[in-house]
Amino acid sequence: MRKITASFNCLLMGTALVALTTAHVQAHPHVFAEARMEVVVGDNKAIDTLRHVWRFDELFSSTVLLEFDANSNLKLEPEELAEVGTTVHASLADFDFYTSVDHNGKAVEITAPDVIHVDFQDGQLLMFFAVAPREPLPLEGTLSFGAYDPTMYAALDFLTDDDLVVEGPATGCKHTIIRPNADEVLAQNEDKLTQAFFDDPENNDISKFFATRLELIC
Amino acid sequence: MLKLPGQRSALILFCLLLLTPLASEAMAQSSLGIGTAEPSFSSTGVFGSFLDWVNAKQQAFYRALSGAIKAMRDDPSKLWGLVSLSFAYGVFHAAGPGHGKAIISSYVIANEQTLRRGVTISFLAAFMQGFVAVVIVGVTYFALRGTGISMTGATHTLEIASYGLIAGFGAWLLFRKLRPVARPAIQKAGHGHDHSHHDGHDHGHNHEHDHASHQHDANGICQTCGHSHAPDPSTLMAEHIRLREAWSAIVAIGLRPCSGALIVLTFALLNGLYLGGLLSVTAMSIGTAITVSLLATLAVLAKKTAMRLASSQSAAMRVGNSIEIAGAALVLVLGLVLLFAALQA
Repeated sequence: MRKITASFNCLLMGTALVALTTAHVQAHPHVFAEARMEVVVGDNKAIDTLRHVWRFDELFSSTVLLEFDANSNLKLEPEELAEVGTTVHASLADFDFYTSVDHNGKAVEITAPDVIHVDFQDGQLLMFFAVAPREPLPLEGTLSFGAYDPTMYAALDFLTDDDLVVEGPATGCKHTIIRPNADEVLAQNEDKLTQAFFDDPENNDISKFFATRLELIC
Repeated sequence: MLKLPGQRSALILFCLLLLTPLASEAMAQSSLGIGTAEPSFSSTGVFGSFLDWVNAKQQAFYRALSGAIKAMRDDPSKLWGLVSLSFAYGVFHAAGPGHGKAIISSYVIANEQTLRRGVTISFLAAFMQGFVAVVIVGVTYFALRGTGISMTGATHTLEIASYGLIAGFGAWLLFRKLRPVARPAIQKAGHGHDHSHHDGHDHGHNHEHDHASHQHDANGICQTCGHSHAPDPSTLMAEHIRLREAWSAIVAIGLRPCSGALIVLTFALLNGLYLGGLLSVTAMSIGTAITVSLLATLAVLAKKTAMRLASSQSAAMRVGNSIEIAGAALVLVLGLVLLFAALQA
C-alpha cells in the first residue's frame, strides 16, 4: 500500500510538472490604454522610428497618482512623472516595450527608447516614447507593426484606424490595418495554437494573434 | 526502519527540485512595473482557449465596471448598478487564473473536508482578500504617501508573505499526511504493543466524532495505533488543529489582495466615493467566493466519486489517502513556484 501511495503521489506530481512546463503566465488585463502608433519613414526609404502614445484609463491612472505622489499633494510634478517613466522603462525593457515588428514574417529587434515621457492630464496618465529598429529596415516586402502586452496585464486599444499611421515617404506601399476577430482567431487556430506552442516555446505568446497591427506591403 | 521515510523524502525532494526552475515561467509583478498582475498558470489546448474566452469576457466586464464607477461619480444614484456589476465581475474574475482556487481546492481535498467547511473557507478567504485590499489602499492613502513605500511594494511584500505561508502550509499538510504512512515501518521494528487496548479506544472515538471524516480517521488512527500512547487528547486536539489549519489557509490566501479591487478602491477613494468603493469590493468578494467554493465543491465531489469507484473499502481508503497526499503536495508545490516567481520579480 505504501508503495502504491508513493507511486501515485509521484505520478500526480509528475502530472503537475507536465502541466506547469507547458503553462505560461496569463494575467487578466487590469490596465487599459488608448494607443496611437506612428511609423516614421526616413528619406532613405527605411523605417526610422516607431512613436507610441498611450493614454491610460482613469482607474489605473489614479493608482499611479497615489503611488508616485512623493510630496502628498495629490498632483504629479515633473520629478514624480519622471520617476513613473523610469519605473515603466525598467519594466518594459523585458517586454520589447510592447512593440512587435515583423519583416516578411520574421521578428525584427528594436532598440530601447532613451526615455519614456510621462504626463498627467484630466486624471489620465499619458506616455510617449519612440523605439527604432536595431538594424536598418528598408521598405520592402511585408512589414507588420503592432503594440500589445504579451502578458495581457495592460490592454492597448487603437480605437480607430487613424491611430495607426505611417508618416513620411511610403509611396508604393499598400497600407492595411488588421484587427483580428477574437472568436475567429480561436476557431481558426484551435489546433494550431497548441502546435505553435510546442514548436516555438521561446515565442509563444497567444496575445500576438489578437493584437491590432499595421501591415505595409511594398 | 528509517529507510522507507528516507527514500520517500528523497523522492519528494527530487520531484520538488524538478519543479523549481519552472518558477521563472511565472511572473508575479506586472509588465508595466506598476501594480501587480495575477500570477497563475494556464495550460494550452482546450483549457487554454477556455481561459482566453474568460479573459475576453473579463475585459468587457472590467470596462463596464470602470464605466459604472465613473458614472457613479457624476450620479450617485447609479450605486446599485455598480454593486451588481461588481458582483458579476467577482464571479467571472475568479473563474480566471489566480485567487487561490487551486490552493483552496487542494487543501480541501487534502483534508477530507466537509463541503460546508470548504465553502466557509472559500468565503472567508475571499472576504479576507477584500479586507486586505481596503487596508492597503487606506494605509497607502493616509499613511504611506510621501514615505517612498509604494502600494506596489506593499502588495509585493504581502504577496511574498502569502506564498511563503502557502508553501509552509503545504509542507505541514504533507508532513502530517505522510507521518502515519511511515509509522507502520517503525511499528514492525518492535513497537507493536498494547494492540487490543488501543484498538478499543479508537473504535469508541470513531463513533463519536465527525462522520464525514470517518474513513480517514479510521485509517489514520489504525495506522498509528501501535504507537500512539495517548489517543484521548490527540483525538480531541484534532478538531482544534483543523480549525487552526483552516485559519492558516484563509490568512495565507487572503493576504494577497486582488489587483482589480485595489484599482477600483483607489479610484473611489481619490474621488470621495467611499461607500461606493466599499460596497463594490464587498460585492466582488461575494462573487469571488461563490466561484471559488463551487470549484472546491467540485474537487471534493470528484474525490468522493473516485473513492466510491474503488473496488473495495481498503482500495477506497488507499485512493482517498493518495488523493489527500497529492493534494497536500500540490499546495506545497504551488506555494513554492509562486514564491520563487515573486522573489525573482
